[in-house]
Amino acid sequence: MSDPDPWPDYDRELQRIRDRLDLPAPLEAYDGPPEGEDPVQLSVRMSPRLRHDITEVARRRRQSITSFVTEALEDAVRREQDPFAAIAASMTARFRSQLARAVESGAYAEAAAEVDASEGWSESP
Amino acid sequence: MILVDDHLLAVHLGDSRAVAPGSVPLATTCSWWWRLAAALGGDRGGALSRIMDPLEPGTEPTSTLAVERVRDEVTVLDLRDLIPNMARVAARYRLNLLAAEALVAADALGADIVVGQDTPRLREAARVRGITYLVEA
Repeated sequence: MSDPDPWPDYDRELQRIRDRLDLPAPLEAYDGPPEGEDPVQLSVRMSPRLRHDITEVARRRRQSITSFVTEALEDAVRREQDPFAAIAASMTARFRSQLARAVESGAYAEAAAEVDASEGWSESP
Repeated sequence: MILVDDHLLAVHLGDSRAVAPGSVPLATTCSWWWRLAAALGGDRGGALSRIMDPLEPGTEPTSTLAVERVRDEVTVLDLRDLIPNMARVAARYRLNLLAAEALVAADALGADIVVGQDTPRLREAARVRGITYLVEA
């Protein structure tokens, strides 16, 4: 006797999962003029406290307010576009270089295989 | 969207290379996330422990922060939603927990699977289900 067809139930369950998904909206790619065009103006309203703090931080960094705000916004956008940039921003450079070495040397793969063995996840032949 | 394994998560946490061009959203699975957490956090006395700095007293390990931030930046579907279908594909394709979860999660998300470590049975099951499966060198 052949196995019962699992796909109608599978597809029904899949649809149920998709109906419940609440994923962030995808980001549209920029398709305007290339970098180097004349800058445009972006006006935002903010608290006097934030405006004061921006001015003070820019002054301490010896940047113009325009330069500081642009740099901060570029950084925020990059983190949103690249999840790893956001995670990496909270990592120390030392940890990241150690992890890169661990991957390169095979030490990470070895540790992952140890996890597989301890969890009984290795593929049996 | 692309679904990545813990090997790719580790590669990209290490050097922050972009996994995919542009702003393709990332997903992973609970099992791959767990393997990353266990590999980084466990003191197994192996090669990884010799490379990573020992934890200084009173500080939280950076690896813990890395593992936590995955939750904020990477989509992870709830296992409660996936397990019924995982049981179906595990029986059909003889998949282990990791591979079954990856297949069903990719199917539900409409994601491509991109891995650092090839899993032949997952590769074959993905082919049958019409899911793109890539191994990043």
